[in-house]
Amino acid sequence: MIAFAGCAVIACVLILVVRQQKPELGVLVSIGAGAVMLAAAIAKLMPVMSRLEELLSGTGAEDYLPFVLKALGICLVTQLAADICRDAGQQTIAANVELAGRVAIFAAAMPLLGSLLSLAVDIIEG
Amino acid sequence: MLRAIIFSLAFAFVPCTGNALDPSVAARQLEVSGAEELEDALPKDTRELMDDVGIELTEDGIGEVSAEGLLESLGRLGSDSAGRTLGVCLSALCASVLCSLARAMTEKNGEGTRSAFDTAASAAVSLTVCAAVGAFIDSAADIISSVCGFSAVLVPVLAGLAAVSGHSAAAASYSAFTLTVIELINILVPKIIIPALRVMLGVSAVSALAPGLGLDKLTAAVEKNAKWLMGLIGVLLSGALAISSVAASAADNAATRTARFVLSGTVPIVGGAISDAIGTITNCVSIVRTSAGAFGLVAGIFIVLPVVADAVLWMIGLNCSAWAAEALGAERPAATMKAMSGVVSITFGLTALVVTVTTCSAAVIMNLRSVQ
Repeated sequence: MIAFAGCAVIACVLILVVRQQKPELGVLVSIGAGAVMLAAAIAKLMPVMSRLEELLSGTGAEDYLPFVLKALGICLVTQLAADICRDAGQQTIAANVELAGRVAIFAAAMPLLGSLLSLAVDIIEG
Repeated sequence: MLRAIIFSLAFAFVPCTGNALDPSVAARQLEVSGAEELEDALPKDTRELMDDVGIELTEDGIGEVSAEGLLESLGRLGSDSAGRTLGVCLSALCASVLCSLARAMTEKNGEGTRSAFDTAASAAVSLTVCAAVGAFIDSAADIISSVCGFSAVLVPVLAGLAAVSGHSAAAASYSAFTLTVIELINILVPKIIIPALRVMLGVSAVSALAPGLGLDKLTAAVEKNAKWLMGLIGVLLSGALAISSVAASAADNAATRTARFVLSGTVPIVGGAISDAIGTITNCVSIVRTSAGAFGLVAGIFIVLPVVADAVLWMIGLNCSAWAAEALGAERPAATMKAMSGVVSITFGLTALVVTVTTCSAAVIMNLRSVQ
């Protein structure tokens, strides 16, 4: 976490310095720093998720966990992209990214929604 | 009633020589009454459970109950149910944690994305819990059917014993009323109530997908009214059964006293002896009736024990998970779990209602006093 925080502080200082010289490069540095930190966060998260999958094996969670984790990943990437767009002053693109993210989350969760609806119909029909 | 008449005739040939219960006579009375069939009418699992505890139908009671066996059986039952319930609740809680994680990541400007993820997580929770609660409803329906099947064997036996011990009107009233109620339960539960519960479960499952429709409020209202209605039905049925049996019992007492008075007064010399012999037979039969009734009561409790254990664990597990999900800020998965807990609660109430009615009917017939 210290490395992560150090990386964030260095990225902030770098962006401030670069913006004074070449403002258009500030966004690129911001994207690069965001991508590195996201990759680091995902690398930290992966063992936790694997452990979670191990713990929950046999409880029925393994049926839905891949879909929910995929949706969580989409959520994370969407939010990062939308925040970067907002930082660059592109509100419309940020809104479009969020819309695309919502659609992607629904697409990822579609097998779950389909299973749930067929289960509900099965239960009602007995 | 035919059974009661045959049973009465059969009892005429069973010797009974004193007020004290002769074990061989009582055993013969048990055999003639058909009470021995009660053990065969029990579901296999219940019979095994009762064997482990040491409960069996004897002429003077229900055998020697082993406290160690009882605790061991209850522990085994509880651990089986707890493992299953805990797994599903943990799984649902995991989806709530992920929901909370997504909420934390999208705290700023991410309302739409968060809502989409909430829908996915709620669907995951519904999918996990709904299948398990559906299986619970199925097992509760099977148990209710078993209770009705067992009661259909128990009622004629108790009615026959009551008729022989001088309560023919009470036996007829009890038998007709209880068998009608059992028949009614046998029709209503699988054809109307269980399908209605399934619809409610299905609606609860999909309510998380469309929170704007307010389906969770609908299921909460149904739960509240269903509980109120079941309580009322339970009180009315038990009350009607008690009143009809007490009234019929009073008529029986008057008729038997008159018959015995006339017999001992009009038949010279042997009239008094015959009257005393009748009194002795009714005393013996009352003891057998109490044994059969006690066995019926305990068997009824043991039949529903697995469903009661499941229901209690489900309600605790789902309510605790819902509380934890709410604390984590995952309102939609929490609402889904609460709705499912409501369905479990109604199923539990339905099972309790059926057992209350059958238990009250057995208790009423056990409490009929021998006519002296």
